[in-house]
Amino acid sequence: MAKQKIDAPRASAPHLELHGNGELHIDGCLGVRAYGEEEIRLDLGDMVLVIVGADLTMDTLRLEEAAVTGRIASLSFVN
Amino acid sequence: MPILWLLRWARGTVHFAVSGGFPERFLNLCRKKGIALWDTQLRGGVLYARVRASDYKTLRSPAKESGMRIRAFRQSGLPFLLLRQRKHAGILVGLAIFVLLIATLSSRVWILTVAGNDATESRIILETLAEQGVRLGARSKTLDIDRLREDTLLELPQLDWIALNRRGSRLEVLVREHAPDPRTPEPTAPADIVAAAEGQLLELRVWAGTPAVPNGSAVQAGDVLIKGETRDGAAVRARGYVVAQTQRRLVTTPVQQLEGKRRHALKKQYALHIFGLRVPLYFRALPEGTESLQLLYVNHTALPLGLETRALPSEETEVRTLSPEQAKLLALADMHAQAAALLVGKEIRGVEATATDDELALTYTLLENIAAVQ
Repeated sequence: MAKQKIDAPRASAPHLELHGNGELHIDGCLGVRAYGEEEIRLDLGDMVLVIVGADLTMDTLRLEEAAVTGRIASLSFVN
Repeated sequence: MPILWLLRWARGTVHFAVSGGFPERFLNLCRKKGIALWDTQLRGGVLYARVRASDYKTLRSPAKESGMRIRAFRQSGLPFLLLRQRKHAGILVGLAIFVLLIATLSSRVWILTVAGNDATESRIILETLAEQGVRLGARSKTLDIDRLREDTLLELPQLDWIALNRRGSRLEVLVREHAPDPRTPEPTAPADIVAAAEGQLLELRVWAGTPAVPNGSAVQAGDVLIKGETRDGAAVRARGYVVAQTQRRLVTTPVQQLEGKRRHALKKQYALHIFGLRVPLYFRALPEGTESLQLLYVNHTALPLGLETRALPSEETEVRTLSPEQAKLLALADMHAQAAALLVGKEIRGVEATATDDELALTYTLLENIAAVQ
């Protein structure tokens, strides 16, 4: 029987869920690097997630979970 | 989300602002300590956020470590609402008791009605149901309606059908009784018509059977007037109408003394019935006595509220001596009552009265139907 590889996400990899450009859920957030109305930087371990937009609000911030709402213009990752 | 909102409202929320220092550090310290923040906004260098009321005090440490000043500016949710209303604690307690009472009482049976019965008394049906646990205050949901129907029909064979309908706190019991067979049963043996009283026959009408005596003859009570017969192997019951002239005598004796029993309640005890609960308003129950329960009715519906009265009656024998006038009046009244019962369905042809010191007598000459089926 031929074995098939499943492309499963790594257990430690952060999980991002974007609803339109108004709501972003991040699972695997390890901290806040920068916080402002127009830019939020979140520590995801191997990289930093840069959220740029307007009227940004941290809707939820728990141990490894965060939710950002507002008018999100762009998402980028920097090491 | 409404559930999350409800949980936060129930636990209470503090709206706060932190300023100066490093907001990012503050957020990270909160995250590390497991303090959940939401609606976090940075406006004009001030960080606004919300936190669970019980977590607010723990924010002082992260605020201090990140060099920020913390200030609470609004409190919302149930704990703060209760705190603000503590002067009106009675209203809140009353409201809670009201909600609890409604929740508890609405699941029970408080009104029991019986409909559809004619020959069988409602009391008997309710007593049968009570033996199976259906009474005021019984939990409505736990009643096994199918089993109750079967058991009640077995207990009361005079019922053909029974239904128990639950409508909130009301339990409607609908029954159907056995309908009588409208057919006249076929006679199995011939039957005669006999004279019910002594008299002289004036008219003998025969509808079925054979006349046994001629018109005008004198008959004694029990004499056969119309004979039944067997015709073509089938029994024929005698039927007919027999008019005879009879004499009836009513006698009454004036009494000089009247003996009677006077009943009066020596002691009464009361008990309240509230939602199936009996609350006695006495300490020691009477050993015996008659009980009566008066329920409160609204729109012809009995409510589960009532007053039970228990009375221990006492009887006293009383002897009263009557004057001659009183004795005669009493004798006349007795005669009148006797005559009223005797003369139903009869025609009076003549009446003769005789009176002595000892008795008063009336002799009636009557026309009446003396036919009786044997």
